Amino acid sequence: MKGIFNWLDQRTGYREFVKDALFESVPGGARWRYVWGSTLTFAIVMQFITGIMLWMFYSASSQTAWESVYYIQEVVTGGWILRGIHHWTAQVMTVLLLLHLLQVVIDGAYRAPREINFWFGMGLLGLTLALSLTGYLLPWDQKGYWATKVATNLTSTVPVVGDSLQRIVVGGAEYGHHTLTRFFALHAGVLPFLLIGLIVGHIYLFRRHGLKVKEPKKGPDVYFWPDQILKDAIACLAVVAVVLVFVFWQHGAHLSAPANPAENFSSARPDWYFMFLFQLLKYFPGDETILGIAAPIWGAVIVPGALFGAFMMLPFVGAMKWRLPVVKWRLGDFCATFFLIACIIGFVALTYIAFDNDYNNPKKAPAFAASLEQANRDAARVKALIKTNGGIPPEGALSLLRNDPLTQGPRLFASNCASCHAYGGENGLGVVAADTSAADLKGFASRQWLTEFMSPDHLETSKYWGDTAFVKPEEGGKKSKMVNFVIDEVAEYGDVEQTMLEKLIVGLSAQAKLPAQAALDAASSEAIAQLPELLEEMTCLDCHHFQGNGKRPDLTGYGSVEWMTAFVKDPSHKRFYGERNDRMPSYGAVNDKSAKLSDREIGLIVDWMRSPEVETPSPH
Amino acid sequence: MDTSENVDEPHSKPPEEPKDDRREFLQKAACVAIGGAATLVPAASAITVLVSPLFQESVGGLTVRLTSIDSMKVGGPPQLFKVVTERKDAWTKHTLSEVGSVFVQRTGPGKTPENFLVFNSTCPHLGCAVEFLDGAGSYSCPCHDSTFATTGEVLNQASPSPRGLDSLEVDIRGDELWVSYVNFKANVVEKLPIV
Repeated sequence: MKGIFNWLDQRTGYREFVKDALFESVPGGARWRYVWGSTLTFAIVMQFITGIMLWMFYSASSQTAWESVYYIQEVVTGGWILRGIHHWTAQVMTVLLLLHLLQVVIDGAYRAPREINFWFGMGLLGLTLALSLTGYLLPWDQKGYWATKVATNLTSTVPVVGDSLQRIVVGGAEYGHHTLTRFFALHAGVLPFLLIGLIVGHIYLFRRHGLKVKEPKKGPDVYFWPDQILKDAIACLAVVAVVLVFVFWQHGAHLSAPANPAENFSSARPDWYFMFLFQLLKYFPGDETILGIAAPIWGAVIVPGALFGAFMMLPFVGAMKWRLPVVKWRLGDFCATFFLIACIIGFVALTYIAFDNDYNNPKKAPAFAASLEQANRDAARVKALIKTNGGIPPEGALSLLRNDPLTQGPRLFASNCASCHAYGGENGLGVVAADTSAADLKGFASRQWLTEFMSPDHLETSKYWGDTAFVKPEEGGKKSKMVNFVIDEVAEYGDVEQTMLEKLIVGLSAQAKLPAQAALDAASSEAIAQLPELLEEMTCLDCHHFQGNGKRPDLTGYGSVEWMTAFVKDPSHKRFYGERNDRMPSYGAVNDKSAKLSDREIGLIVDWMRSPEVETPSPH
Repeated sequence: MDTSENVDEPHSKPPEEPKDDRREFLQKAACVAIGGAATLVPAASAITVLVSPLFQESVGGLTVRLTSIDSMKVGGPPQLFKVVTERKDAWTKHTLSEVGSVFVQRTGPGKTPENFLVFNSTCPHLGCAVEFLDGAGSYSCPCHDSTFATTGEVLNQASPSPRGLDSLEVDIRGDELWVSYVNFKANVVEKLPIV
């Protein structure tokens, strides 16, 4: 065995190398304040290990990026732990970098002859932030997509070359495959390559100048191995422990819904350590100029650039040896420390204001929370749809959401129906409905809905027809016959007639074939069979149409998919309200007017209204 | 600006004081144990996902419709059919995916499995796609020149293939010809299904 090592040593000189590496002097003894560099090196090694494994699963294209990350997170054994470690180590690294910087400035380790190493360190800080930024986009989820769009749009504010720069970064005029392939090449290729180069330089220079000892020395000089390494190892283990706490607490890392260019995600935010920049930008509105330069350039380029530049100048600032009176503090140290503390206060304050604005500002927080909740709902929904479908279609996970009534129904309802109709008192998306003028459609055609509709106590409330022309006709007009019937005749019903009405409602509601009522309907076949006679007997057919008898509106198949679809397409059709229709527009193509909504969209609304809890969507 | 004060700061060497061997050994052991524990976390997580394909279930044999029996000429040359089926590739579910191809030859008029010869078109040697040469009346692999008779046996002594073409199980469903599509391990004498 020894022979082999001798053979190797004669050819490589590894013993000398190992000796140099391990037996570096630590004057004054091992100390906890020296561990930051080692923890950072360790964190970077962790990122390389987990990053390369993630690489084995990742597929950089706009139809497969989210899908492959979903696969890592939800399907691969231990995949969520791997992804969680990578994500949370990145977060922890940012903190470690700041602590390292803090220690370097406080201990004066940035001063001569260590200026270049300080600049290397600042370069590493920049590279780490660039790695975070590029990595944030790679899952191609709503969060990363919209947050990164802001960042790349900022590049276009750079004077003269901005637009070209943005195009080069994005890989074209729009976000797409090439945005991902470029960001991935940066994240997994260019940036790590540069990172390794700078780290090698950083450690080389660190060893060349030796440790900057914090005075006063606490004990006798020792070697790096094993005294300082023991402290470093314990610190690294602590880093791992912190990362694991987050990994298990958050079950890996969050993956929001697949990126959707058509679905604005107003709660998109950069990672927390960029929030101060995010907030800073708000003070530089796009329509203003400062000293003849557009304000956003100040916020995005000049101010952060100047700050970074000021950091780079610290070694020269710190060289000022004159001492302050009384406290005898070196002017250089004083200025550098003061600058650093000012930066930290600014960072913390801006970050706090940004988060406070999102979570506590009474004007903005509700919309932010609603947007966040919707994204979370979409994320959960798409995962459920993938399970139901037994996989993701080749065109991507977004297509599952696009064809899902539960996802699209409420949105279409909110933007097309909610100006008149409410849905359970809301607009479909959880916002309380105000100023509605037509019936609340939650549970439409169900037994309960019909029972209330047919009740003199409810029909004239704003939940049903209270705000329609059927109840409040225009001047010179009359209340609708239906309203008069309920108010005058149903109100006078005795027990026998009430029982008949209940049966009729059971039969009528069964026409809708509502999924939620399937069991109830199956148990009421007797009442359902009597529907035609009951409609006749209770004088409904004096006005209504049913299976070829009577007038309109047609009650044949009332509330069914076919009925509702036809109704939404053209409520003014003679099969429905005809000319008595009160303001409801025709959403389908009627005569020479083109359709407001496609058949597919109407189908999604109808499917959702009929079964808002539907698990397996019907195809449209 | 005077920056000379710290330049060429000499490396101080720790004094060679008498060492407490036992204490130092414990320290070194602790370094290895603690450092090892910290490294184990990313390493174990990486290895778990690295080898995760070993624990994935494969789709296994698929029974797929090939053609109607009447479209196959009795005694005609082998015909190549694509095997099209639903397939899951990691996260993607393909409803219609071409997963391979088979050669089918009808040897007799009867509508029973014995009247059909069905072979996986993959060469048992190293997995190239075998062709049927009309002129020679035999199968040939373009990669390493293995040749096979229409019955599937290795024809030429020089053929590197360790076994004949892999026959597949035929199923007659009414007037339709179905096949159980299976791939087999390459370059071994035994016909071992890949599952």
